[in-house]
Amino acid sequence: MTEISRRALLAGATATAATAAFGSLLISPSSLVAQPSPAAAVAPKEDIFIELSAALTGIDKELLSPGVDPFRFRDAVFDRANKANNDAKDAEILTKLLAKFEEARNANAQGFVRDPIKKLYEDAEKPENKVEYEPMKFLMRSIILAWYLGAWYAPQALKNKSYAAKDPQHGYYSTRRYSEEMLIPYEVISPSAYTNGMVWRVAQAHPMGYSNLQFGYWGKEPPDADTFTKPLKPDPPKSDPTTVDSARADSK
Amino acid sequence: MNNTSQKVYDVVIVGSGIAGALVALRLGQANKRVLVLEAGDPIPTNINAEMDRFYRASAKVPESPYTPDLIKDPATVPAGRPTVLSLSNSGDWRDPSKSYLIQTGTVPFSSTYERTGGGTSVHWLGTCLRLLPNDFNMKQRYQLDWAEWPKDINYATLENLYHKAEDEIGVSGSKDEQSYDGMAFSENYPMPPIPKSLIDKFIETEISGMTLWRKDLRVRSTPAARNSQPFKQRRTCAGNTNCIPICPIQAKYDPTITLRDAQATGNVDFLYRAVACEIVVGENQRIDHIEYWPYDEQGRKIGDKPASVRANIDGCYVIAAHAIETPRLLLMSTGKGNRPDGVANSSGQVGKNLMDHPMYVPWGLLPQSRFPYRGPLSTSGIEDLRDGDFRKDRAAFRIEIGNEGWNFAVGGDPNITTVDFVNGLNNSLVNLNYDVLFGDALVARLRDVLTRQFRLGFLVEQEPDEKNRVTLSERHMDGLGLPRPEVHYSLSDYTIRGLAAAKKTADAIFARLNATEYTRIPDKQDPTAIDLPPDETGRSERIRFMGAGHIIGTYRMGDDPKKSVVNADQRSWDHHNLYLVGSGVFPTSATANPTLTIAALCLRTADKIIQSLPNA
Repeated sequence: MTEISRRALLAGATATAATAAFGSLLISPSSLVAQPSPAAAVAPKEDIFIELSAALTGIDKELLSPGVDPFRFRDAVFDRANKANNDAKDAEILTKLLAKFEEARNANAQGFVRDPIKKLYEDAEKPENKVEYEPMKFLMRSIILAWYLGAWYAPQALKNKSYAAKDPQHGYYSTRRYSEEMLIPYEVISPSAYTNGMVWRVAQAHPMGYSNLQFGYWGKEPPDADTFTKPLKPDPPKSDPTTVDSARADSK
Repeated sequence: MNNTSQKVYDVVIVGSGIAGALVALRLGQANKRVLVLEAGDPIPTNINAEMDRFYRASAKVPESPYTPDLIKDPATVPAGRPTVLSLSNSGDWRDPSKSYLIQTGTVPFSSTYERTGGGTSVHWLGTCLRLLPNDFNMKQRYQLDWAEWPKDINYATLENLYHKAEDEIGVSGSKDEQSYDGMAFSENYPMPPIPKSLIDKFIETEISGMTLWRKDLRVRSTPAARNSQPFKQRRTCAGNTNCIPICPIQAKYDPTITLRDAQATGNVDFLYRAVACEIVVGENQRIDHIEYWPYDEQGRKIGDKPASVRANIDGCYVIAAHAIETPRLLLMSTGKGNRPDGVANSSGQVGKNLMDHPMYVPWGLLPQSRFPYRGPLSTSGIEDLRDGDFRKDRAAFRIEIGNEGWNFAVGGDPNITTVDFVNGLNNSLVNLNYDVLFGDALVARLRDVLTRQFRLGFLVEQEPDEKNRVTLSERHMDGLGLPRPEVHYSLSDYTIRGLAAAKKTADAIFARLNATEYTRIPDKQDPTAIDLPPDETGRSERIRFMGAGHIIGTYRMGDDPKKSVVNADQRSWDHHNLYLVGSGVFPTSATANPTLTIAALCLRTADKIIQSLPNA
């Protein structure tokens, strides 16, 4: 089995690049894996944040916040979202966004709201809500981009480089063509945030400059798309001994 | 000033890139004592710091992993260099506070280089194509009024040297796939070819039977300095898709490997942060010594006058600082005004005929997912249009197939396309409805686009033109007070007709693939916009060209001392103990990426130098 192992990919710890990046060929992936943090260490607020993130990104929350998370990507994104614009009020905006999301989620559970995120976006477009909702609207986009790209696009920067909302009567307010003016400045949250970015999974690929795949894999089809963005289900029992071997090799 | 200046060296080399490194290795192996002066920082003891800089960099450009910092005013940097960021619209290529090169041409010289241990090939792609027999013979074969390569330098005389170079740096390739347009192989490559990517295979199938410009097109695995099996204690390529700017596992050759081998001979010393500033001529036109400015880790000049190094009386000097810094050093070496034309310049050719491979990069979406962002950045090419009768009229080109989606083409995907779908923009041109997506719809849309992305790269031979030249800036100095290179660059009609043919070829291939094209048509104000000559129907199109990173020309080789700077041995006609090596010697830019030919010529020159030195 020369194709990528699902386990190795989903673990996020990539042996090949990790050993190169950390400079020793002797480090085994397991030594990079931190002990799972006790459940109590995760504040309730962060739990809601993960739920919000899963709804925003379309990536399963088990992947956003795995039980074993040596890279602490979850914490890195959450921390950054708490100081989204490097402004004193940032944490307040996040708290309010989480509250609104919780409300919409509960309404969804009761069957009143079909899609909590859609509800938040729609509420944000109501003229009377603009002042209150706009900071939350762009913060949601910052959070998606943080998970996808491991980079922080500040809500204010996204707002500065955005078009007015779609107007069903008149189309868009602006039809400006591409220019470098529309490129948005951003910062990489951390090296491991870059390498854990979800966009590479969506592309059924690996972060550029960080791969645990084997020679020649590029000539073969990648595994199914869902294996990159959905949690790993237990393998159905198999008697094929090569499967057992490769699973054992992965867990080394 | 320092200890090395007290030691006696047979050879002093300026520059630690692939050319200087290979000469140093061969001389060290032959028990010659060598000193290498490098303008930039030493090779780091491991790759961690460079990987960290790369991961943290928001703009992941070729220079990202390497020192010095990119954002500094070049007037403050002791060993400055042109950067991709200084070429972008926001960088302003004509602003000397942003661009190290002082650019005065009609279009920007769009290739960049490094000044660091290992030189620019620390971030090369690894392409190891040979030049074609006709590349050496353009004047005879196609009646072009171009300079000629020396009669001793042609495919037949280089064939064995190409093999030696391929063995030394470790090339994976297939001689069967590379036997075209007169190329013969006496031996196979040292490693089997790198497998083709899914994109390569798709294009291979779709263009099967396609004929353009009277040539049959075929996708061929590109010979590359990239391990297809363990080689010289380096690992097999794991497809990190990051050859440029840095291979995390050094499965791709880079010159730091040769520098370590050279050092291991015990005969090669290195002096880093040492910027050569004057080649001093002594009696009988022999080079007497080289002066250089040392500087410290913080970029501060050391001392109040330059230090100097001298090879022993029978020794020699090798300048291996590529086609911009080499002519700069030669032109700076005026002996306090006694030699106003500089060193090695009796022909008046130093600095002239700067070339690159102007590159046309079209991109689009394939009709089905073929999964880019996987494998080496490029694994195959279409080489059949490198040669043909059309070269009488317009420039030839090779076609590189990219495996990195739109990463290079749009300047930083997957970020650009992702931001488009999240923030309702259309910089990628794929979000025509300015949708704002999230959740499953975002995953589905992004997956559909990212897995179908592809791009081609047409590397066009550039006609030699003496108006394209490197001189010294009179007004703008670097951090050591040395004049910065001034570059005048333009594209000739012959070259632009080659770009037009590239565009036409791209259109035909995209149609054949059933691909949807998203190549952006540049605004007129874009400095790299080229208005192509109108076609038969009178239609004129505008495209953008990019630099290929191939800095060629400026101290050409030849058989006539009046028309060339060096002979076939890369030895100066004017100073018999001075060698100028690298792609600066190429009289024409030819149709292959230059590095393998640089390496082959350097192995040849190293042998000539060894023969010229007295036996110890």
